[in-house]
Amino acid sequence: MGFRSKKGIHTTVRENLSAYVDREADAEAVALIESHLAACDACAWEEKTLEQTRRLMGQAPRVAVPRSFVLRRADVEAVSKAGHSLARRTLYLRGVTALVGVLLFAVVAGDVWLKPATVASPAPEPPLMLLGAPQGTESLAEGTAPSRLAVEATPPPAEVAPLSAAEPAPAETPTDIEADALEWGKTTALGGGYQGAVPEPGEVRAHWWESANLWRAVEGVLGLLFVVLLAVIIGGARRVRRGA
Amino acid sequence: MDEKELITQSQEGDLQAFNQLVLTYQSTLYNVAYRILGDGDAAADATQNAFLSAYRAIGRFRGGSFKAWLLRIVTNACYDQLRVKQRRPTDSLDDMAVEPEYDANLADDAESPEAYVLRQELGAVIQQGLGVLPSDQKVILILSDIEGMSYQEIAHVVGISLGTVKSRLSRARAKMRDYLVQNGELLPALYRLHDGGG
Repeated sequence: MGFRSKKGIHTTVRENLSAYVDREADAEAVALIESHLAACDACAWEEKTLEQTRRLMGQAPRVAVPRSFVLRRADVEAVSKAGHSLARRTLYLRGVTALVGVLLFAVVAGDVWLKPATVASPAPEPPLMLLGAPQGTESLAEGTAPSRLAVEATPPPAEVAPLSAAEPAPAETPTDIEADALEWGKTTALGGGYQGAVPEPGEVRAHWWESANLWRAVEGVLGLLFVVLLAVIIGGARRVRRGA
Repeated sequence: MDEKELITQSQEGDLQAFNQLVLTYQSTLYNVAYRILGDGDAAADATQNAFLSAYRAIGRFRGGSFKAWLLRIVTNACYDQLRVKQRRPTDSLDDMAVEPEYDANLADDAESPEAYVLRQELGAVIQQGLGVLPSDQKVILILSDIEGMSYQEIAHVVGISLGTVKSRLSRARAKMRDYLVQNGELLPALYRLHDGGG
């Protein structure tokens, strides 16, 4: 009971008075309470009024039952049908949750496997410069991995002449995307707007699956859906347990 | 037929046997539900739902006190009703408190009609006092002081520790005492709290 606690004796006694009037307090508590009540009028009043309250509550009249609650066969069958329907819904919900879980796993695995190619560049550069330079030159941002696109768009290193600051970049057959970028440069220079897809500065896209944002978005949506479905299943199971 | 036998037959799907148990406990369940909810219709719904849930789940009853098991189901049904009420508070005429019909059969034989009327007034004031308590304290006070259950039984019904029962009951009873002292004029003189006894 902790009578040696820092709480005042009055607080300790009052906290245990209810158990005392119910004869549920332990022997140590009873001894302390009885010795204290003999000397403290305020706590004695507490004890007396709590005892009276308990007695009054016990005298509250019982309410008449308004009708019989005997179950009819029809009620039981209706509840049974509803139970089966609930069980079926729960089964579907679990199936959908499992499917979403598998999809989420597949998407995360795909994300890791395909390694989306996003080359972050601190300053925007014209796409031509970025794409036209061979791999390994300083035109690629330092410390970033070359993208799949850059690798595909760049001739093999063996065929590339050594590049020095004095020499211009060797002429190469432009790939589709380089041509795209060239076209962008031309039309911009001529004052016309480029009509095709303009890559974001610092981002090189070859395929839709290399967009990191897309992967994050799909993972986010699937993850959220998975968590919500799990919460619904757990909540439903708890309700069923409490109801029975 | 004794209770154990009725339970066994109910577990085998015998609705008649289960209804014998319903007749035995319907007054207890309805009274607890009425005191928790303070509304006759809501209490009737909670009681009916509790018996339906109990019938569906009786296969999982593993012995012990059948009354405590039923009370656990009905208190959960009442919590559900209170949650629904909190979500959809309404002030229609249908929701106004109606004086309940008290069970005249359970009144003491020696009790005069006047004393019976006074006891009904006491019942109404107690119901108002219960209305100011938080649900968790109210349930424990009802099970202890109106249903006369022990701390151990209450702990089993509500699913909390003995220590929690003690502390919640202590707070609930003190609040009820304060309510009865502050609203003493609502009580018949016979029942007013004073130093001389109740």
